[in-house]
Amino acid sequence: MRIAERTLLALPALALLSYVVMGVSSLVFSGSFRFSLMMEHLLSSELRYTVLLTLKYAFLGLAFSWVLAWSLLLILRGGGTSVFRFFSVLPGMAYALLVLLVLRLLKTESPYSMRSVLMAWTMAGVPFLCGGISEGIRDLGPKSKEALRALGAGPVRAFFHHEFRGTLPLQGALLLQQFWFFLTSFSLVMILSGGPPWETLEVAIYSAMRLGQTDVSKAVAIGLVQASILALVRMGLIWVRSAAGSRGISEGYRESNDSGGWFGILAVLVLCLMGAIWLAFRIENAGDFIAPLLLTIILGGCVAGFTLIFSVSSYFSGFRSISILGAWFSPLLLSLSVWSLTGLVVSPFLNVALIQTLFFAPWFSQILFPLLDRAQRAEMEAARVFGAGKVRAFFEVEWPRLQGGVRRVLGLVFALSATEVSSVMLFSRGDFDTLASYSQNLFARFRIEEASFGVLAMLLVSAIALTIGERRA
Amino acid sequence: MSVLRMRDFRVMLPVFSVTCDDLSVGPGEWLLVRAPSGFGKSTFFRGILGLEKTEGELILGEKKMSILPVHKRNFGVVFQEQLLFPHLNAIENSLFGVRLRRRPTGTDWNRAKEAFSALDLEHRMEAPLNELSGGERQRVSLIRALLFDPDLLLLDEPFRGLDSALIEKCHMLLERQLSRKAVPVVWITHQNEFEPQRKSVLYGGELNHGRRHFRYHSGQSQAD
Repeated sequence: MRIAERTLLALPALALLSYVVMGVSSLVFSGSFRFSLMMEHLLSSELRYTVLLTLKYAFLGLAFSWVLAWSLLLILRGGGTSVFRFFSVLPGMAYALLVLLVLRLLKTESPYSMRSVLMAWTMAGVPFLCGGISEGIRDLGPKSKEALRALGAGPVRAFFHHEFRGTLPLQGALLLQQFWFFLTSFSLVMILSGGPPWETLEVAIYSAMRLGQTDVSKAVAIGLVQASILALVRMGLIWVRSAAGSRGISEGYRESNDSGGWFGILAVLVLCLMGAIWLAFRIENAGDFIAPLLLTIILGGCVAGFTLIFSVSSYFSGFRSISILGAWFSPLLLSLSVWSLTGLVVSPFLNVALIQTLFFAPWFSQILFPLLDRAQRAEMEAARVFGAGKVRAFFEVEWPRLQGGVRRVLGLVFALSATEVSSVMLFSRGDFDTLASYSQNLFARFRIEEASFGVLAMLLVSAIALTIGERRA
Repeated sequence: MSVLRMRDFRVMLPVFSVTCDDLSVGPGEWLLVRAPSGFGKSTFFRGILGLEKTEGELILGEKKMSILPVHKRNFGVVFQEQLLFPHLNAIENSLFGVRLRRRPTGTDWNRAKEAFSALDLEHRMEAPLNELSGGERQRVSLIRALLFDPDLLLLDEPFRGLDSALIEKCHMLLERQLSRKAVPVVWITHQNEFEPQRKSVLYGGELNHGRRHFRYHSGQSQAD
């Protein structure tokens, strides 16, 4: 590829990268940040307490999820993969709502504690682990288990050597990913923890940046600690994947072989719709949700479009690593890094869209890049020989093969954007709201019924996006 | 009525090159390209198509092909690996070249159907690609190369895996096409599955063992 072509293709990716670099520089050199204060916070006992609290509950969450996931897998005997997969992409807020519902049914006095967070994390972790492990077991195939049985292994030993040991690297990768999710969990902890001192690192960053008591040095100190832990997790993930080879470890969203996912999505869609209609009659201000709903849709569309442009640009220009930059940070950390650009370079809304693009691009790239790597170069050449120009050859030969996967992941990115809340809350400062941030604020004011209506509407939007993605695929 | 001419035609690859000093193939004439494995037959083929960097003259009729991009050359090709498109069914694949030039008319569809029936494929027209056998794909690939009336036919071992009866039918289809529009045919083959009436042969040999430079020349094989 010619240098001019490559540079042109790289422009969107480089623009987004320079936006982050500009944000970080502006943050470091702004008057609101002081190095000495940051060091003080880094060495403070308050931060140490937050780190230990986060790690303690994250590890407990992992342990509970792992034990429950295996129990469920043994009971279901590998069934329900697609349903698990669907539930694993539900937002934290949905699990928070579920926990509140369960605790209300159990007539618990106060549902707000770290134990509730742990319960929600476990609920979120189980379908994620179950889905991933059962896909891994399916990939192993039945042959080696048959060989084990033929060689004299009983059902328990065969299970241990085939299913359990065969998926060990995968389990490691999934647990690390789940650990990542716990560390970056925002809305769920905000809703259920009950506030300081029960704060995880992610929430502590946000608390330090809260309107009226902004302490950038403290936020940066917590951010550095969180980024270091996240980097360790990411490196662990890379190590596990390289040690095991690519087999059995899929970080991404894979094609479904059964229609279970479809039914799972449709079931949630119907339930959300029924719940939302029921709640709409019980609350008085259902009309107030229209503006956040529209903004959610616009934001989701923008993020999906930007993600596509950004990923394609970084792939074809050869700067692949740019598109996975966001995978090393949480949305809140990315937001913090460009927070000082609010209202300076672009509008807060565009800031949110760009941050979410950076954060979701790795998801998208994970699916898109392998598809592009498997490009039918020979078929493209054949199409060119028969008279198609470069662009037409791509759309005649490559696009029919790619479009299913691209649409599916665009649906997923849209759904993830609709449920992401931390970047919106940090940038908007109350100027604008998506369904997620609006519901989050209602939760904070203990207006649970209205917040539930918002969450259901948000789930509905996400489920519709996922359904369209799945259906067209 | 186009004549294919090559003069000092050289296909350049980083590791070796293939040269053809002087050659001309008339309309309806078959050029058989023969060389042992590894002597650059496919490179030569890709060079004519425009998929590799070349030097020298490659002229078809009055047009200098060497300056045209690959998709403007209007060549009909049967690839050794067929290279059909998996998202299209058999008949859609066969009309691919036509569709790139114009919306297929009723005549195009009828011609496609006739070709399918001439090669015993009339019952497989709507079949998805993954349901076709290797031999069936080979025949669909041949039909695809013919339907849009190319100015030159390039066939890279097009009859591999076909039995003699089918090869005969393919030959008849090719001859019918040549009677409709006489174009030069470049046929890369290891052995003659049939004998064209008008043919010339291009043999490949290694010129310089150190530099891996192959030369294709008319007349007698170096081995002969």
